[in-house]
Amino acid sequence: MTAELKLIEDIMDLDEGTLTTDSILDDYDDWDSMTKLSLIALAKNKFSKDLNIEIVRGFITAGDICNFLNS
Amino acid sequence: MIKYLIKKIPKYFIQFPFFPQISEKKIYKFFENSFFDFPITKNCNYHRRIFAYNTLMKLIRKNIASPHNFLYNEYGRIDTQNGDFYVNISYSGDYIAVILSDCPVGIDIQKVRRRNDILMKHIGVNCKNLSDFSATQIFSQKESFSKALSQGLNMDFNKIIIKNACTHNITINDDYVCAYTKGEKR
Repeated sequence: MTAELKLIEDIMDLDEGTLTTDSILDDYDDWDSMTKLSLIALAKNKFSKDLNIEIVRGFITAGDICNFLNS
Repeated sequence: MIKYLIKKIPKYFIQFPFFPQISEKKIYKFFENSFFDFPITKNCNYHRRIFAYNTLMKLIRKNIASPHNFLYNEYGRIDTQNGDFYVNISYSGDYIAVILSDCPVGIDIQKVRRRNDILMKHIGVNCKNLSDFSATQIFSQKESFSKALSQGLNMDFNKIIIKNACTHNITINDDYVCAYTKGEKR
């Protein structure tokens, strides 16, 4: 999970160690349209996962993203 | 006709102690009793949304005689009931941007972020030699275009080709970029 969290921190422009799997995405200003599209690009590029905006909107915590990327 | 407002969200608005204690149900109630049809979504940034809607209403009152009800299309974007005018809102960091036009219109404001090469490739931008500011600006232009078509992030950004005739940048400062796209009259 740590590696995935680091990638999410990277696309959200957050300092390393900011996020935990319980972090609520909406609590972060940088959980915005650019981050959401970056996540879709990241999932496709690094995890070969097809992610769409509807699925992204359903993510509540950083852990939800990690679980999706690892599924 | 294009009228827009870009405002920094006042700190007192974010820090107002009453707000965090309002339940989601009460917030929905607030919107039910206002002019808006508020889409019930799981993830909402209420402080910014409420500030943006207040600003938008000021813009509408100043430029249009009667208030209108807003409807949302299948993508959750604001659509107007009778097509007389079009509105769009955006927020990022400390800023909100609202726009009003007689044509379909989209606005996007973005805090300048570190360039993400994977994202740039995904949206069809050759990012070699692009500064963080320019990369964010291109993203903002593309998002404003997708919003003008009422599609937002549902649209494939790779297929968007920006034309200067319809998409315009708005200068704010070194930390934020903003762009709007004005479409054709329907």
